[in-house]
Amino acid sequence: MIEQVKEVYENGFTIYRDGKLEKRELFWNDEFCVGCGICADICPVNAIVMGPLGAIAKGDVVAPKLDIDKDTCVLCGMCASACPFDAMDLKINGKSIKEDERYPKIKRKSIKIYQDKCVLCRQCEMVCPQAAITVERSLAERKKFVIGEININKDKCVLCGICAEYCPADAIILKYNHPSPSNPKPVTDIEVDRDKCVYCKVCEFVCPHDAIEVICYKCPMMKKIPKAKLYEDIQGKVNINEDLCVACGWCAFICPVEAIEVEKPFKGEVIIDVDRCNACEACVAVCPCNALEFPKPKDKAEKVPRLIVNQNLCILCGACSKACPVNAIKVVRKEINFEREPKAIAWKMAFEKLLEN
Amino acid sequence: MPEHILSGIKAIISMKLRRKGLTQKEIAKIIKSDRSIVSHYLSGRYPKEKILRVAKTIEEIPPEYGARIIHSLTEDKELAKNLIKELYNIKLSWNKDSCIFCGTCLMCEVLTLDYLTINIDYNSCILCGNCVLNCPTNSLKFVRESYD
Repeated sequence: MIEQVKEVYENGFTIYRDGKLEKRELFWNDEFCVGCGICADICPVNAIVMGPLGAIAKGDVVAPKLDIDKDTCVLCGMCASACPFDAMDLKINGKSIKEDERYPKIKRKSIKIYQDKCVLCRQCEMVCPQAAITVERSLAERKKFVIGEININKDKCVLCGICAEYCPADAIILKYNHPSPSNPKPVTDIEVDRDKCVYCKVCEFVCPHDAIEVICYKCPMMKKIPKAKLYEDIQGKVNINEDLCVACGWCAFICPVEAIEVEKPFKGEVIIDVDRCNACEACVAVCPCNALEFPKPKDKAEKVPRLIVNQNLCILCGACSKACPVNAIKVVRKEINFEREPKAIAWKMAFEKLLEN
Repeated sequence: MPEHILSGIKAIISMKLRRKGLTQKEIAKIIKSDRSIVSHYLSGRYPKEKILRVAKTIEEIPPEYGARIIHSLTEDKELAKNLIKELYNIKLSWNKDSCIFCGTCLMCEVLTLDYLTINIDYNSCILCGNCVLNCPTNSLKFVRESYD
């Protein structure tokens, strides 16, 4: 047997075997690994041992999420091919099995943005549990849609600041001064921030000294003011960081215009045995999708379930079930979404092990 | 000692081949010995009973282990191959259904991977059994060859 060598880095390791005919290298990256344990489930030689996942996820312990015994591992690549998070890869003679059509590939990070449908509402950015989405948005200047004039008569103005307190747009700024013998006045000037002012006339109405005059052109010039158009006046773009995306589908689920399509790696459901749960929160901490929650009662008397899951946001990776110390969570996978189906019979059987477990 | 055990194995094989109808000359060629020694083996004069007992035990154990013992008895790989082949009547076989294509066996140049098939070069295979012992899924095995 050719000796297999393991090199351990700060956030991962490589195991390689340099043979006459082929060089195989297995990579594992702790950063992308969520500790779902699919690799350990599929490994034909039981070479993968999972770490204390609940404690790691909660930050109680600093340890790698898994370890592979270099002498037991045969570098077959099943783990890399099944990993839904791209935390593993096997390269044969420098070529990743993800690009090798002989090897199966689970659909992962399968997210599609239809920029033409997107309304740049930014809600996907707000919900993404992995901060994998950013929405660039730049708006045309307010001036284009809000026109008018405002003038403060400094001779009449007593700098009382009543207008500033009323102003709904916070557009009136008073210049304060620390009173001193050389400059005894507490307020020295008043200014209007023309980028904020909407010419609503409130200041004019409330000024007891008749010092402000506002003319609003919005109504008389209604026809001349353009209606803001998406992708003309409002420019923007959705950016996805595929390295971070876990295809939980939260963005697609809440998108108001169906501009995002996410294909998940598995179909099935998560079953929670609430009576067993002792609310240790390991599952909530480990879940890469934030799909689990301990609901908080609105008032003290309200009874709420101990733990709930939103199946729409879950990818059935099984990390919660692996981290749960009391087996209160069961992940039932009914179907695997393959990008490429396994061809070899032994591989087909191995992937079937992941179903209905 | 190793030489004695080797002789015991050669004696058992000589008897097997004689029963199959091979001449002493043909047998001598296969076991790489002198014709006169073959005649000793066949007459039962040599080796001793206790050595034959060891050789018979080697014949009884699973071929992948026996093959390793026989290879350890001699440097002559071709001779070892002949002895293993005749003693156990085996050849290397690959099971496409259980193979996971891990490439562990590819350390031996007899085996090559072609798309999703492991090809075995039976002429160069010396039946050392390393691949059989290292295969994680028992997809490489020594199987008995049919007698036809």
